[in-house]
Order: sequence, then structure tokens, then C-alpha cells
Amino acid sequence: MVHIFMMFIKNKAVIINVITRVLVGLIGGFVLTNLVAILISNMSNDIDGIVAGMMLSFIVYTAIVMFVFSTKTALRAMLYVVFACVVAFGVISYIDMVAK
Amino acid sequence: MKPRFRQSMSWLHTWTGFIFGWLMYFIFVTGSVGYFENEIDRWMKPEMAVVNKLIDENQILITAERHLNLLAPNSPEWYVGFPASRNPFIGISWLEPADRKTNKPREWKDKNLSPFDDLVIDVRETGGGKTLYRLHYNLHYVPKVVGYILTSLAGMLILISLVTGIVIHKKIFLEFFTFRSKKGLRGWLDIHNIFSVLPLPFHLMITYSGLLLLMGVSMSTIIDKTYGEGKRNHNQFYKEARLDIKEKQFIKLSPKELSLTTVLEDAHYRFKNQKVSYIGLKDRGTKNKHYDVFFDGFEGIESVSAAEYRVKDNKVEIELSKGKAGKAASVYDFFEHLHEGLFADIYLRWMYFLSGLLGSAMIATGMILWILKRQKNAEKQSKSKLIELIERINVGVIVGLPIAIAIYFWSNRLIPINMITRGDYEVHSLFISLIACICICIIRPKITLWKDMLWLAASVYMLLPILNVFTSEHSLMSSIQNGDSLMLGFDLSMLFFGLFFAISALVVNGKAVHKSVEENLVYSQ
Repeated sequence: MVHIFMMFIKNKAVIINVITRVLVGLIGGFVLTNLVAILISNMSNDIDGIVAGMMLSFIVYTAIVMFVFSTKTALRAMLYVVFACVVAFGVISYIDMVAK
Repeated sequence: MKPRFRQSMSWLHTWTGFIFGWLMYFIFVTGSVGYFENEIDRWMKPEMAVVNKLIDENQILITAERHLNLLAPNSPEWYVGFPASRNPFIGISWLEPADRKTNKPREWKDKNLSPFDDLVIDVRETGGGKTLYRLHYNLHYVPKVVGYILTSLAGMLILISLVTGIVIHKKIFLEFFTFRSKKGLRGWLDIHNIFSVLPLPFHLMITYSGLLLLMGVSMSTIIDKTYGEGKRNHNQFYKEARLDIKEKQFIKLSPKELSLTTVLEDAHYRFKNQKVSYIGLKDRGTKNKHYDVFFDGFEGIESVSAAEYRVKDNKVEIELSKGKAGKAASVYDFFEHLHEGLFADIYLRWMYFLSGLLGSAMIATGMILWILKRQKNAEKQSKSKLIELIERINVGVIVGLPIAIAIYFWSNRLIPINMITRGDYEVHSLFISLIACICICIIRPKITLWKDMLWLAASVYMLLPILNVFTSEHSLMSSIQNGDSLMLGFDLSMLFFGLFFAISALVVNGKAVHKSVEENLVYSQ
């Protein structure tokens, strides 16, 4: 698949750019989606929050992927996603700590 | 909107659409076919006896109970199915418990009862409509979880393609009304737009709800967070998430009298406007024994019984389901029902089916557009060769899949009736013919490829009703005489699809002639 892909893209810089974005979108996006969904599930105490978080996760993922592919540079996309992940993880950890 | 944003979205649309395009097409086509699960099942089980007159439901119940006592004395769950509009048969089914000695897993069994002489009818083993529609999320040959994850990934890519597709259209409704019937890219783009925009709400709904149905697999980390990992913990989550609001009341029936017959009688009396489709006896042989009554047109895959009868405190209690307890769970429930469309009557069912086919056509035209665009810009020799290979495989998948589904029906009649695991071989023949179609498309001359494949599709569909005449006691005439609308509908639909493919072949043929004349003119100049 990657081979096909590369045939249609001319120079090396573009290839690296695209591969970075795909990885950030696919993996970073998935991690961030899960974190956001857990945050949403924390908004309500009962099981409803979890179901809502799971249901909204697909919309969140779509938005993240669109964002990753629309930022100016791949590096910037990566930094934003990593930053968002760290913040989300921090907030979740804080909520867990308070709850305990 | 900034032009650069639109440009990057256009790129995303192109590639998310392309990368899993064939899998998306497969999911859309087999899923659409699934809306006619019962109808397909009827055709693939020609031995089933259709009930086309009013018969006494109490009598059915007594006969069914007698057979169940003989066939499934140790089963924990019994069901008796009454003739319903999409399922005009008398059926019994039961859960056969797992056998530790022979290492046999628990298994659902079902039999069809004849309305004429109270006997069990021998029905051929077949994959039926169920196996066919399950293909659209389990992909058959891969382990269940892998199938779910691949389907979820494809679904996610469809959702992204749909949303980016909306974003890149400046004037989505204006463009919908422009149709440039000229050949080449513009014409294909307009067709792609029509297939996408007209049923857009359906596409969004079916993709999103499809993702929701598999969210327990794709988004399981969120469950892990609160409930912990592992199957048991997840089951605890599902149990709580699916909790129904139940309305309970005691009824006058004495606990000693509680039986299938009295439950049916009570259900008839209590729910006069509803038609009972199934009655079940659950947890047989335990203290928790109870009876479930289902009504026609209201059962889902995770069927929630409409009314439950059980003995409590030496009185008979009846429980009615009043929807899901949680708000989010109700929304989920709503989407699940929308996706499955079990509530749909025959007209709405056709709408569902046709919308699904439009979705398939959207994906197919998108793939064609991808190829045409790249063909135009191909400079290098190796690149144009690769595009040609993709183009050929594309024809093999787009026309080959409908052919493969027809072959699935063919194999149902041609594989020897007594063959062991013949149901599996039906599915094998589906996939073998799909691969064969792709191979044919790689080898055959390109100029007549579409035409040849479409004629092949037309013939395998047109001949199905004739095959039916020779391999079963059914024909168009006998179906009309017996009032067997499911069989008649299936045969007529097959003729209709055959006709559709034949017309497509003629249209493509005309275009090809046109094109070759044009090319000749260019060369002569």
C-alpha cells in the first residue's frame, strides 16, 4: 500500500510529511480520542457518561484527523496532538486523584 | 473558508476514500443485501412450508411443545415462532447446552414445522441470508475481533470521507442540480455527487450507527477505565448499560397454571393490537424459569422481550419493557434500530436497500474518479501500468461482487443436499467467484472489460429463477398460486437485477463504440 502511495507523490519531503501526518492522525488521533472520550465520561457519574463518551468518540476522531491534515506543517500537527494528549491525561489523572 | 484548508480536505477525501475503497464497497453491498435477510433465507430454504391461511395459534403451540419435548429435553431455552408477515413459517428453536465430554460448544438449533401434518420438515443446511449479511461486519475468514476492527476502521474512513466530502463542496446543493452528461471526469464527478448528496443523510446515519454498533470493540479502553479489562468486566458494563426500564405488575393467573399456552392466551387478551411473533421459555429447569413474549416487528438483534412472565412470591408477575434506562443508551438504541431497520415495512425496506446501493455506487464512482484522475496525469510508464492494474481489479470488485453474491445463491442449489458443512461451501464459492472475477478482469482485453463483466452478471441473475424451477418445486407460477410472496419477490427481483445489468452492458457497449470511433478519427487525422 505504501508503495502505491509513494508512486504518486514526487519528492521525499512530501512523503515524510504525509507519513508523519498519517501516523499522527491514526495513532495519535486514536489515543487522543480515547482520552477525550474518558474526559466526557467523567462529566456524568453514572454509566450514561461512558456510553456518551464512546458514542461521541467517532465525531471527535473525525475532527482530530481533519485537524491533523489541515495544519500548516506535519510537525506542528504532531506537537498539537501530543500537547493535547498530555493535557487530557493530566486532567484525567487529577480527576482520579481527587476522586480517591 | 481558506482555500488551503479546502485543498487539504480534498486530499484527505481522495485518500481516505481510496485506501479502503474496495472493503467499503464490500461492506455497503453485503450490508444492503442484508435488509432482505428473511426473503433470501426463504429462497435458500425451498423446503420450508409457507403458512398462507389463518391457523390456530394454540394448536401450533401444542404441536411445537410436543416436538420440543422430544428434540430438546435438556435445553435451557425454547422458542416457538408464529407465522409473521416477513416470516410466514412455524418455527421452533432451542439452545443446545455445551457438552463437556465431546467438547462441543453450545449451539442454537432450529426446525420448521409443517402447518398441514404437524411434522418437522427437513430443511437443507445453508448459510442463508444471515451468513450473507454478517459478512458486512465479520468478513468471515478472519477472527471475529479482527473483522470488527477492520470494519470499524473502514467505517471511520467512510465517515471522514463523507465529512470532508461535504466540506470541499462550496455549493453542495447547487452542484447537485448541475449534471454535465459529457464523457470523462466531469460527468463522473457529477454522477458521484448525485450518489453522495441525494442519500447523504442515509450515508451519515448508516456509517455513524455502524460505528456505534462496534464501539464495544473499537473503543473498549473507555470501558477498561472504569470496569477493568477482560470479558467478564465488559459483560458487567453491557449488562448495566443495556438496562431497561421495566414496568411490573401482578396478574390474576395462578402460578400453577403458568405454561406456554396460558401465557399466549394472556398475551392475546392483554395486547389485543399486537401480533405475537415469538414466545420463549427461558432458564428451563431452574428456579428462575420465565416466559418471554415478542411482538411482530419489534425485535432487534439484542432482542429485548416485550413482555416477560415469571413467578414471584407465589404470584405471577408480568414485566413490560419501556425502553432503555440511560439517556445515552436510548440514543444508542435509536441508532441501532435505525441501522437494522427491523421496524421497516416492505416499502421502507426497499428504500433502505436502494439507499445502501446508492452508497455502494458512491464508493464505486469515487474509485473510478480516482483512477481517471491519475490516468490523466500519469507520465511514467511504471505508474500507468500500476494504474491499469488498479483499474482492472476495480472492475473485478465492482461487478464481481454482485456476481459472487449470485453464485452464492447458485451454490445453494447446486451443492449436494447431504454434503456436510455445505453452508461453509456456499460462502467459499462466493469468495472463490469474487477472486475469479478479479482474475478474469486482470487477463481479459481492457476495451470490453466492463461490457463482458456486466453481461456475465446479467446472465447469472437472469438464470436464477430458471435454476429455481429445475432444482426445487417452486416457480414463478407456483409462487403466485401458493401466495408465496417471498419466493415470488425474490425471483422477480433477480430478473430485475439481471435486466439492470443487461441494460448497463448495452449502455457501456454504446459508449465504448463511440469512444473507439473517436480514437480512430484522432489516429486518421
